[in-house]
Amino acid sequence: MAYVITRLCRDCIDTACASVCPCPDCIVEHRPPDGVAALPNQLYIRPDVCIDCSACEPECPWEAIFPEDEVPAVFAADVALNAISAARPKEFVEATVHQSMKPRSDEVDANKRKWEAAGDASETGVVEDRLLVR
Amino acid sequence: MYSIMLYMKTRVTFRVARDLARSLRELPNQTAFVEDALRSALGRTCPTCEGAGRTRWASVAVSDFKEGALPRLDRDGAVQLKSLVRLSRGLAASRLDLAARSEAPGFDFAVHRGRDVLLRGTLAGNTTTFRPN
Repeated sequence: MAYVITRLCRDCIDTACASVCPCPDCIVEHRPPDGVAALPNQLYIRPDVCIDCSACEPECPWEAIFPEDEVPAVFAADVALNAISAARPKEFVEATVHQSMKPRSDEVDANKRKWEAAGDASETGVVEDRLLVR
Repeated sequence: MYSIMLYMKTRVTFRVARDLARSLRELPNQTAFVEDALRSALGRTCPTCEGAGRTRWASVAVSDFKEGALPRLDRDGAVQLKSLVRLSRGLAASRLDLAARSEAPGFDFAVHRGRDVLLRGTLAGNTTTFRPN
């Protein structure tokens, strides 16, 4: 069992989660050697490195991090997306720590509504298709 | 693998007492045994790699909080643990074991390399304390 970063993280530039994660190489970014990023722009948790300490969860300004068994159904596909970082570790690098302006609570709510409305058959499906081609 | 490595070694002949020679002949891994004994006697075995030339463990395995029923880690504790994990990596440790303290907040920890315990201590709030091993 591990923690999972859901799509609520996408395009966020705050890495407060990485600043508290005690395990190096646990919270990672997708940076493939060929420079062609086939995965969404977000952070990922390597399930084979995560120690379930929960330190990252309250740090996320977008409330995007969940224990694997508590991931909302609408974001269920993100569990597999995070697992890619364990299957293909050479394509991922440890997230660089930098702080940003925290979002307001109404922005956090709007982000949740956006992705919940998009549903499970959103961008993730496209990404998984692309992954199958590789 | 080992037989290939034998070609890279130099043959050395030496005299030993008859009983020692008999015992030596019964060993299945004579070269490794003599090499280990010599290195140990000369005190030149690298303690980190144990003479292998490469560290044996690629990463440090840290106790899983859920499996170990450990209490949640707060921000200060996480930052302390992060430093400890990095230190453990620098020591080529294989394992970092955490245990909840029974009568105080925080964790007791032990840093292992194989069967050896390298460090012990306590991690509480924003303080890490090391104990003589």
